[in-house]
Amino acid sequence: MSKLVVEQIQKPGGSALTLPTTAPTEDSLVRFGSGNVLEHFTPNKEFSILYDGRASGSTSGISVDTTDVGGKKLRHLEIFGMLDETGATTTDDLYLSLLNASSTDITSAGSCTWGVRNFMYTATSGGSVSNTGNAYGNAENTMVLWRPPTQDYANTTDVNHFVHFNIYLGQDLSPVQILATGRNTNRYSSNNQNLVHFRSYAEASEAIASIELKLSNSDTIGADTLLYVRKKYEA
Amino acid sequence: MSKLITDKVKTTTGSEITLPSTWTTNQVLRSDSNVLSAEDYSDNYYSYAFDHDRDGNVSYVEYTFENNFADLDMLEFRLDALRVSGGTNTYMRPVFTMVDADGTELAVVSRLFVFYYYNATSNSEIRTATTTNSYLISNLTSNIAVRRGTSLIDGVCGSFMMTFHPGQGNKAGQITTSDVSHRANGFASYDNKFVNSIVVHSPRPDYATFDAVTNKPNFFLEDSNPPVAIRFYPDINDKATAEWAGGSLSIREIKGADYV
Repeated sequence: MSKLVVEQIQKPGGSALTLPTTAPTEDSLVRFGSGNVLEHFTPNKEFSILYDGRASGSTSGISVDTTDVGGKKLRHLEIFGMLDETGATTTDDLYLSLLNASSTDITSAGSCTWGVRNFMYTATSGGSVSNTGNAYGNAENTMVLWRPPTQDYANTTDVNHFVHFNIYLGQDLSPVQILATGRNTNRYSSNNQNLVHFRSYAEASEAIASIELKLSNSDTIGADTLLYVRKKYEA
Repeated sequence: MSKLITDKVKTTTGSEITLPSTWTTNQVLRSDSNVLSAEDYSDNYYSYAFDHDRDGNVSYVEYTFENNFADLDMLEFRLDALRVSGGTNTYMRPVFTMVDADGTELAVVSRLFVFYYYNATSNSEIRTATTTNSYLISNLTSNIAVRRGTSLIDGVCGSFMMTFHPGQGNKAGQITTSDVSHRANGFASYDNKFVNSIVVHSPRPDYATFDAVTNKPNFFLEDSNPPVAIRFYPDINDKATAEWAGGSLSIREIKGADYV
């Protein structure tokens, strides 16, 4: 294979364009960077992997950075994928911990005011729809994404939970506000499963620097988890 | 620094590739018929019709289609924590209307919409509503209607799709929402179990054939006067004073080729 090695290319009468010096680490686009340098970049419009349990194993929590980028505040997070629960307890909440800039969990520190959490679900039993229901809660001091009474997340080795939810952040509102809404599937006992819609809200006394997706009872998110994330910053 | 000055480059067995002539910072490189050029690139995954951070309060959002309406196969609308203020009611009935090339909101006959709600007083319920010249996103005027407010808890979230019947001359089809949720009207404190309601979807299942008069689908638009834009109002009952006052609304125009 013939090869011409140069650092720049240029059309006659045009500007010189400097070629990239390194190969991209993943699929990427190419853009004209400052100083007429071609550079690789990963577009924000695509979903990226938030957590791949096949590579990383189980974990006690999955963290997402919610700080500003380029002076722009993070407005919106969309997360979807499969969630595997492997802890010892068979009835868990799925929830978000909110952390401040010092990585202090302001959830447990009591710096949050909690709105009611609503869960609406269609339940199936043995393959047929058996009932529908709804539930609410406001006793838990966490940003709960799933906690209808009596039908908690079930520990299972062969049926993961599908989750798809949106998290909205009001970092410049007073107080700081966070709203989550979405849908999950939940295996709550043998061969029974729910399709769940939820809506959960909280106010914090300081900026939320990161959020962490966790299970209650110190249970772990399992190695069969594969979650994707997409972020949208202020315009 | 070594530099190659040329109009084109070519591999041994490949085609000639023409280099770009001009560009500006942050444009991306595009290849079209072996001609490289620079084009603008948006990092957002939808087109913003409205972003309160950028646009401030507006009485309605108007979005002009990038494509001819006849070429579209689907439209997807995304509601990201939209909030409303102003108006004379504590609740809102968000709607959109279609606008023709003259700026006139298209007249359509009354439309029946079906809304499936979860609520906290019973397991779920179904409501129906009819409108003229507009398409309802939510309708209820009871305690679980969309509550007016600018805090994030008042955000209307979710998405809905406008899908067209394939092969139908006139644009007709369904509007179906996906996981729309909003704060319910009627309860001042959010520390209340009745505070939220969630719309699951809103199909109109009871038609067999497309017929603008007797068997109406969700919507029916004449090819002879197609829309060129769409308008979103926060409240069908109070277009004059109700305002979008937070969040963002974005749109994706979908053509079949997008999925090939």
